[in-house]
Amino acid sequence: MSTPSSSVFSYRVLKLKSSDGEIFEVKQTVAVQSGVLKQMMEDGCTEGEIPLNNVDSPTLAKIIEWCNKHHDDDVEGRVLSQEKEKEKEKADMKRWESEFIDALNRDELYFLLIGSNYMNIKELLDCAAQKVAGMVKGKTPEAIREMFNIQSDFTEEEEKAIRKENQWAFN
Amino acid sequence: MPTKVMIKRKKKRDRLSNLPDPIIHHILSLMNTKYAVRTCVLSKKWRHHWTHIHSLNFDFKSFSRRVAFGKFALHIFHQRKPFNLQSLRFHCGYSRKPPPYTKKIFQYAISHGVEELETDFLEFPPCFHGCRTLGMLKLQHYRYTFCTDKICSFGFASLSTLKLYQLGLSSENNNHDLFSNCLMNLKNLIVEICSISSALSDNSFTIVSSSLVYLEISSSLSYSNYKTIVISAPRLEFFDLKVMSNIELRIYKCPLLRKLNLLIKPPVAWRETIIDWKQEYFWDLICMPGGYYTTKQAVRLLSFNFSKGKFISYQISAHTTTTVSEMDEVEGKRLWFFDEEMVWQSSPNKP
Repeated sequence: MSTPSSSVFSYRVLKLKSSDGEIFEVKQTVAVQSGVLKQMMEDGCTEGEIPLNNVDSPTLAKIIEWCNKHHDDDVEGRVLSQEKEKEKEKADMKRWESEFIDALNRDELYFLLIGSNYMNIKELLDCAAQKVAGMVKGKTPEAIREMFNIQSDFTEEEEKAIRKENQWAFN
Repeated sequence: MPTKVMIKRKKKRDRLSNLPDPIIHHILSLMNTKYAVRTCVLSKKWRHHWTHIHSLNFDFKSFSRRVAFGKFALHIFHQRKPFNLQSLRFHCGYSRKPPPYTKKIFQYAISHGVEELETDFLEFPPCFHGCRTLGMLKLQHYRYTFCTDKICSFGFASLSTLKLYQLGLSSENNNHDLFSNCLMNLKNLIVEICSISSALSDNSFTIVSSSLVYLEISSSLSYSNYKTIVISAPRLEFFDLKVMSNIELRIYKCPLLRKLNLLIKPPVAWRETIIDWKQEYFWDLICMPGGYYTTKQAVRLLSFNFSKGKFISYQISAHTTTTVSEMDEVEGKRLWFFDEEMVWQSSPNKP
C-alpha cells in the first residue's frame, strides 16, 4: 500500500507508552480521536514510542477499547464521519457506552477522566463526566461527601453561612 | 503488608475533589444548575467551583415556589464568572404563567454569547431576537402549535442546527413551506414526533433550503399525519425518514443526496397475504420517492431499514435494472430480491 504524501498519515501504527512503561500499538485511524495524538501526527512527530505520563496501563487499555469501538475507518471522508456521527447516536452505541462506563469503579472512572482529558478525547470525557454528574445530582451534600470520600473542612457556622448565601439552591 | 495499607489508603481517596478544576467545572455544567450550586457546601475547595460552569440548566419544575426560581436565577447571574455561555437549557414544564425573570434569562444568554439553546418556552422576548451567536436551537412543547415562519423572524443568522420535538407545526405562507429558505446557514434539521397543524389542510410538509446537509424526520404512530413530504435542498446529503404511515415523498433538486434511510411500517392489512404485501410494499417503496428519479445518477444505494437484523437495499445504477432486496445485516446474505422487471410484470394495474 502506498503511503500518502502528506505527513499526516505517514505512520500507520502508533506506539503508546503508558506511565508504567507498557507499550500499546494503536492504528492511526483510531488514534485520531485523541486531539493530542492527532496534533502529533499532523506535526509528524509520532515515530518511536509516545510517552503518556498521565495515563497508566489499565486506563490506557480502557481508552483504547473505547476508541476502537468509535473509530472511523475512512480516513478521507469528512462527510462519511458526519454520517458515522449520526450512526453513533443510535441506540446500540448508546447502550454500549453506558455499559462501558457503568462497569467502572470509582477509581477507574477517576483515572479515565484524567486520561481522556489529558489525551483530549472529547466524547469519552463527556461520557465519563456525564456519569459523574448523574451520580452527584439530586443528592444531599452529606451523601455526596460519603460517596466520594470528601472531607468537609467547614465549621458548622461556616457551612450555615454558605448555605444561607446560596439559599435559593437549597429550597 | 505494605501493599494492603496502600490499597486501603487508595480506597479512601477523594475521587472527586482531586480532579483537575476544568473537569470539575465541566461535570457541574452538565447537571441541573440547582444541584451544581449545592456543591458549594461540600468543602472549602468546592465553595466557588460552581461559579465557573460553562452551561446553565434551569428547570422551573425543580422549584416549589415561583419566587424561589426567580431569586435563584438572579443569584446565578450575579455570582457566575462572566465567561461566555456555551449552552442554556431552560425548561418551564408547560406552566401557564411564564416563570419570573424569563426576560432576564434570555438577556443574560444573549449578552454572554450563548451558542446552544434548548427550551420549551417558545415566546422568545424581543431582546433575544437577532442573537448572532446561536448555533443550535432545540424547541419542544407537546401542547404548542408552532408557526415555523417565526423562526425566520427571530433572525438567528448563525443557526446551523435546528431540532423540533413534539410540536404542532404550522405555516402561514401559501406554499406550506415550513422554513421558507430563511435560515441561510442551517445544515442540520431534525423534526421528531411533530404533527402538522390542521391549518395546513392537505397535510403536506415542504422543506426548501439551500444550505441543508442533514435532514431527519421521524414520528410515532399517533402523530404521523403527513401525507406528502416535499423536499428541495441542493446541498442535502443525508436524509432519514421514519414514519408509521404511507406517505408520498417528493425529492427535488437534491443532486448531492448520498444516503436515504427510510423506515416505513406498512399497514397491517398488507401483511395478510405474505407474497402480495411484499410486492405491494415494494411498489410503494419504488413509487414513493417519485421525484427522486431526478437524482437517480447520484444516489447509488438507498437502504430501507426494515426490521432488526435485516434491511432492505434498493440498488440503482444507470446501466442495470433497479433491484430491491432484503439483506441479512450480520452475514450480508441476500434473503430474497425483486428487480424492476419482476415487479412491473406482477403489478398489471400500475403503469
